[in-house]
Amino acid sequence: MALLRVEDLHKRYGHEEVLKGVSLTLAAGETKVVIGPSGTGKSTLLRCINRLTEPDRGRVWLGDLEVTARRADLNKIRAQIGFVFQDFNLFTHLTALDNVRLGLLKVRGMGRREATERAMAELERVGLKAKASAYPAQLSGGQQQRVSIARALAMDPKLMLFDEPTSALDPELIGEVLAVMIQLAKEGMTMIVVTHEMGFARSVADEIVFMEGGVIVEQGPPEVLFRSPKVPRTGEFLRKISELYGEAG
Amino acid sequence: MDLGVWAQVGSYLPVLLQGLLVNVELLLGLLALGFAIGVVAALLEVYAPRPLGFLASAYTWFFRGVPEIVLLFLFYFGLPQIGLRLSAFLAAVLALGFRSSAYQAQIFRGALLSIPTGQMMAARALGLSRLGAIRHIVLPQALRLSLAGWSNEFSSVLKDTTLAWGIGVVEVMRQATYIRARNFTLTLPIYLTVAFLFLVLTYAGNFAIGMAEKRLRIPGLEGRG
Amino acid sequence: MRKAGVAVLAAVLLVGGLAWGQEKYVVLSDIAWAPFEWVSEKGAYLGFDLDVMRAIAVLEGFEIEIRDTPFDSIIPAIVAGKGDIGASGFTITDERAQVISFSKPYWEANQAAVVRAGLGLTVDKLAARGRIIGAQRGTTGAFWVEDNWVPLGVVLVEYETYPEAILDLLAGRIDAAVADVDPSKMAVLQYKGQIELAGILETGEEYGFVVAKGDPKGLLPKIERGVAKLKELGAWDLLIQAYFGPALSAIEAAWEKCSPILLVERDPLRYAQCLVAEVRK
Repeated sequence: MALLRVEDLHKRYGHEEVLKGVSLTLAAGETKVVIGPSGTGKSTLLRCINRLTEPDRGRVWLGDLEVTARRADLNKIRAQIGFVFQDFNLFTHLTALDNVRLGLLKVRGMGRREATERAMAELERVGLKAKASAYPAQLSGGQQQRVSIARALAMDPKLMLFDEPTSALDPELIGEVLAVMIQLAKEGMTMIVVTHEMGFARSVADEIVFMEGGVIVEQGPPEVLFRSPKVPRTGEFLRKISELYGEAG
Repeated sequence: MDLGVWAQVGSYLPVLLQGLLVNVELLLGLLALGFAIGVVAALLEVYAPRPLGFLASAYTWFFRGVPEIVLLFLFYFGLPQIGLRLSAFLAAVLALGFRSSAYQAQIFRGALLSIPTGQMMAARALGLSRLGAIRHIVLPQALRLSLAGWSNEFSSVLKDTTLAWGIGVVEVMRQATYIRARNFTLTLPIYLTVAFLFLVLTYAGNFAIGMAEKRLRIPGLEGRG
Repeated sequence: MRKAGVAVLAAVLLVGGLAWGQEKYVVLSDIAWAPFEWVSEKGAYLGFDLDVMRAIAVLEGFEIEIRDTPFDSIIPAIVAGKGDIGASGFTITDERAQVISFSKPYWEANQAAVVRAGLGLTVDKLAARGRIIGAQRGTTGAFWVEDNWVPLGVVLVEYETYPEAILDLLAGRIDAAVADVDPSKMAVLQYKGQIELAGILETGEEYGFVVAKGDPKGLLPKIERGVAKLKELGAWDLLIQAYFGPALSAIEAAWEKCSPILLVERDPLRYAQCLVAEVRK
């Protein structure tokens, strides 16, 4: 059974229909990279999956749990879906350790000691154990994003959603974040990543999903999409994005 | 004014301080009440559904718009008409406390609105309830950002406590009147002394708030309020 | 000060309560109007009005609790049921009589004008165009100047309190301060050599005690009977001797010594005798 099933999602903001019926499935351990021009609903798609944004129509299942069910326990579901934001959104008033520990203490109800141990382990995993007592403002962008990944991982998510995790970073800081994500993918984490990093997409993605104008234009394994896209528009976009961002990463 | 006058004033100092203690009691009471209601009103204004938010806005609008002395009279003389009997002290704490809550609500509201929406979103994404997110994420940040505005409110309501005499609370200004009534010649020095006492209190209070601000300061959280 | 007041009050209540379960009435007074009412250095409430009320309470068999209240708030408080009797040198006026009831007059008080010493200003010279006269807002003095002198071209400056008017007089900002005769005399006494009485303004005003409109609690007969008894006993004149004339500190010392006779032994005449004897020392 698929770990994530998205069926016919629609979302409209005023006159603009951002999602016009998006469907997608994800098997456990699979990594999908979503690409496409900006404003084509990629972020909205991610936010509809854990209902940070309420979809107008369509359904989402996490395993056999319907996320879009009227009576779904959203807080419980969200705790199982890690979300990494473009601009990190670390809690400004909390240290790196407390950022990672908060969900464990307040959502999972874990004891303080256990939560601290777990949080430290996650910080170590992203290479920031030494920065445990630093506040977000004292960390570089790359470090902040790694803490935010640790914050999501600490909750033992079944699924990780990355919303352009490197777009807000200076070029020299992108690598450290991508390295963490590549490691995660290798360890078998199920993830959806919205990104322009083609090098990452090529080396890590099981499938690339090309979205434009609120719909999925084409999806398939990277080697297929890069070499022989079925839709000319896909090839055009891939060429342009590769020129813009290069293939580093 | 010669030294003899100040010696006389000095002999009245304990009495003035006793009066000042009443002002401090009033101050603590009204600040605490104002804080509790102010936080709730601000949260309702920012987060509650329309009708509740509107109610909170109407509340702050009313208490910001009516002069203190009128509020004092309404609470002390008006409430007995509907069967609520309050001591002058309690009426003063309530009237001035409600008024302060309206101003404090404005301070907290501004601070709440200055917290980036991403903070709430990240908290919800972790699985925190809306209330949990407010309690653990938004409020701790907003309250820190409010301290500067709050210290203004402190100075302002400290002076407002002298209005409580209007309904018969014997505070420091009234004590000064007692002294003056039995000795006209002390009028000026007594008021100078009262002014000095208030300056000291204001300074001490603002100093304490400043210390709290420093202790609670977190890199990256200043300046936005 | 507050505590001392409370202690005295507690003693009064205790003794009264032990004696017999009498009615208790709340007496409101703006206790900063010596010698009618003021707060002693030790925090006791004393003055002619207050002692008269205490003595009446003893003679008529009820208890009182004296509460310090801003003058402007006393009538609203009585209307709102927050007090029973107003004893604060209230001048009887038609305007006031529309919302509360007055007792028969117990005091005749004229107004006095106080001027800086040595200028030779008389009342006649004050009543002239361009003169600046100060008075406490809301008092008979202010109303009288407004009605009688302002039409002649006098400028009236109103103050929150009488002492403020005296300070402005000393500073030369006003030509005279108008107030009741007794407080005026007290001011002259305190600023000896700096200010003097220009003269008395015969206003024919009278003080009365205040109760709720229509006297629903039947207090006026008790008050008026009490005043009559005090006069009959001779205590009334003794109280006048004790309170009007001597220095406030002398009265305070005498009250300190004699008040138990009134409050505990409940003997108004012996109390008044004691007071007079003590202030003369």
